Amino acid sequence: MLSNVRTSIIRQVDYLTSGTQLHFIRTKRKKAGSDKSEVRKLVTQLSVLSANRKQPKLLKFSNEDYVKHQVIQKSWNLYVRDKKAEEANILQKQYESIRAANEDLQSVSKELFSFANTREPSKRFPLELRVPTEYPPNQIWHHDYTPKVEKKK
Amino acid sequence: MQLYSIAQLTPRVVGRACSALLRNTLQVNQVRTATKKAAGSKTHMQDSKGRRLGPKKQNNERVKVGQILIRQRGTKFYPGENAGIGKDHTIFALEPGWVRYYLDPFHPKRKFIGVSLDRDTPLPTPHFEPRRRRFGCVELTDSWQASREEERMSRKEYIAFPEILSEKAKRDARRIAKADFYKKALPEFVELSGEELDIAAARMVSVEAMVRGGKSLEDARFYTSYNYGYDKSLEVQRGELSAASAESVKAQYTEIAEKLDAAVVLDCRFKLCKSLTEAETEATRNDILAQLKATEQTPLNAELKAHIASLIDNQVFDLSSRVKLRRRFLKPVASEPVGIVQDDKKTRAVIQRWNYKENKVEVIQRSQEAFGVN
Amino acid sequence: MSLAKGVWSQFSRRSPSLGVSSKALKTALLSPDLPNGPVSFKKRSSKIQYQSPIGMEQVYPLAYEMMEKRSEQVYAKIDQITEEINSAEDGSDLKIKLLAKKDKLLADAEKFNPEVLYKVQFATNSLDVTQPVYRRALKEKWESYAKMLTMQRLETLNVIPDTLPTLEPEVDVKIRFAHNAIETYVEPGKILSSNVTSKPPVIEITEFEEVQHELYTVLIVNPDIPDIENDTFSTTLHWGLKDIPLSNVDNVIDPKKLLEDETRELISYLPPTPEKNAPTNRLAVWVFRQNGVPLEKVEVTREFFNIREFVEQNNLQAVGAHVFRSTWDRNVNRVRELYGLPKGRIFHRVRR
Repeated sequence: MLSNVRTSIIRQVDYLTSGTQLHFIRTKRKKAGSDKSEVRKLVTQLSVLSANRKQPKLLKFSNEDYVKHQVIQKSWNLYVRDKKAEEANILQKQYESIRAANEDLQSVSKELFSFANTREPSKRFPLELRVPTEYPPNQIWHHDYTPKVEKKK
Repeated sequence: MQLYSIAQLTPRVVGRACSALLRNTLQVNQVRTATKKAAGSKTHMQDSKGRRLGPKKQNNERVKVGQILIRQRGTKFYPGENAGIGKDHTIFALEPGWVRYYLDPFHPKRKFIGVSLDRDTPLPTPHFEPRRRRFGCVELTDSWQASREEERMSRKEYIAFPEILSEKAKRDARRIAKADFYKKALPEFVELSGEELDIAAARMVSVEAMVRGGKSLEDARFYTSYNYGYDKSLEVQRGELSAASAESVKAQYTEIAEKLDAAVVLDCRFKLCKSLTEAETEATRNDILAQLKATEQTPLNAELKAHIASLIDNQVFDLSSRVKLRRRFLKPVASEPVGIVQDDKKTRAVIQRWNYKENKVEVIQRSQEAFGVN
Repeated sequence: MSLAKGVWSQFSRRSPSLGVSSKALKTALLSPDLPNGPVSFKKRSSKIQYQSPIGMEQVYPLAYEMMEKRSEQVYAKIDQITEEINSAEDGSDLKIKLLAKKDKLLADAEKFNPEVLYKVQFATNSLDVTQPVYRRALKEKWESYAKMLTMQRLETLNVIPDTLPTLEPEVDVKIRFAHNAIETYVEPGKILSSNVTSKPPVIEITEFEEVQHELYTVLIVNPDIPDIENDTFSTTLHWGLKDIPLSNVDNVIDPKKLLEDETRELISYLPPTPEKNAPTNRLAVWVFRQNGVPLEKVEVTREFFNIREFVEQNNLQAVGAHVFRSTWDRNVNRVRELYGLPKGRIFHRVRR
């Protein structure tokens, strides 16, 4: 019963993605296994499995390796912590220097300072600008992009 | 439609375009399905009689044990000092006294009903003060009633009592048998007169029980002497023994204990053995190890196995070294080069096993010799 | 290849108990892989079958090196503090603070030493309590269960506040009745047979801070003795000990220790002998630290003992407690005879 309802929902989603007009259609109940979609199959299989079995497997260590694992974990945590602290430190320094520059500007020329600090509420983050990331993609922009056109059946 | 052109349009235009797009593609024609209810249902006219809830005793009212203080739904009030709570949250008195409705700063969100033992004592008693408690039991002064009450048993105890008695009799019999055993066995190791022998046997029974219970031999000896001394000082306390004679008895016991401890020990299997000096222990151990090593070359048979077992069961080895020696010299199956054969007639067992190093199944034929049964 | 290079493999100034004694285990813990398979596995086939997680061989040496370097830095700090301690005045607040800091650093320096980690988790029976790192491990273990259990029993059985107002436990108190053939540690709140409690218990007091020669007072009180005149209960002192010297290593109060000096017994042991149909007796064991000051001219009464007053007068600090219970059984009369006590009263079965 439940699977029957599900197939009809999936059908709707298929329509949605193909971009054709959507109708609520009563479908006939289909035999099990007639739906060949891989994703669908995977979803069904996963839904049958208990949550316990979907957990990643617990690592099985001997006592010696467990101790080694603990040392590795701790050292990695400390490494990450140190690195983050360093980054935070740099950011703090940057912020301090910007603030110092602003205070300088305020003391030198109030006009320029207020001009530099006026809020521009209508101005949004320009869409053309990318958000700076640590790992930019190799190819920034697909200049020759053309959307796929499906053939009409 | 080109993607990048959207970015250049104003948001308003984009919004309009998007909604138009959605209207075109996601048109849903709703279908109403049958939801007609077959019959009506009655939801009113549900009422019950009043449950007669509420406080039954007011503040400062005198109550007896078991009287109900309040009937309530849920815990509108909590049971305070000397008050109990029933399964329907009825609060009742556990002690006779005066009812108090009060708040406790330790539970700021609760209201309490308690029973104060005095007319003037307020509740709650300060948090760190000791509780004021009523004893309330009546002593039985009539000796016949008292003895009858003392002998009275709970049903559980009554049922278990015969078994407890029989177990105790068995334990006592075992203790006497042990003492008799020691009386016979000790003269082999140490010279003792008749009375001394009784004391020594009793000491050995106690030491053995303590060692079996998990104490070390030294601790067992110490606590046996300690118990003896303690019992003697209790005799002095009761006036059955004078302090001077208690001292002499203790001194005599210490003398016997020292003599006994110097002569005998219990090995790891609680067997009575002669006490050896360290040098003697070392010499015996080396001697036995040498004998055991000599047997390593000869194939095992039943007779040799018994001989090796008797060598290993010596007082000079503790439990773990005995296990180690057994593993080494009384292997149920000899180590690999011994008794590997290709001949089908001589084969006693064919062993198939997984070789983890080479990742394949090995088939090995072993002869009688490998199992030490010829 | 052994990773033993830095401070964790030098035992000239560190205690040898900070390393594992077994050679095979040491090799296993100080190699990137397990050259002879896991030592903790007994069967040869299991040893062969076992595979370490992928990548551990490469990562572990780096992690070990990093943690060891951090430990070296901590040891450098410890050296600095030791100098400061040497220059500080004896008994000053600064010195006490510095000593506490040094203890903490010593524990920090060794916390992630694999050998110490192994011992703390898999060889708990033989921990060297002179080392701060092991004391800390024992404390964590105590706090995770035994401390909570004891406090729960003390509170639900109303030992707090019937005997003393409250307790902030600092030491682990364990008792056993060693005069019996079979002895086990008594779980707090357990009802014991009067046979078992007929002779004094052995009390173990585990301190988690460094303690060299501290003096302790121990009282066993019973707040459930019927006081028929006033229709209430009174407190009886069952056993009182004072000026018991204990340290981290020598932490047991047993007959051997008490026989050394008989003035340490304030009052001799009286076994619990409850009367029939009277409520179950609670025997609260209270341990006090004397902060190095011996008790002088203390007089105690066995009956109607006021423990609060005693504690206040002698300026004692309660650091630990334990409780066991005793109820009337068929052995009570025998124990009473043994101690020359009169026959116990018998009360009516129904409480009025």
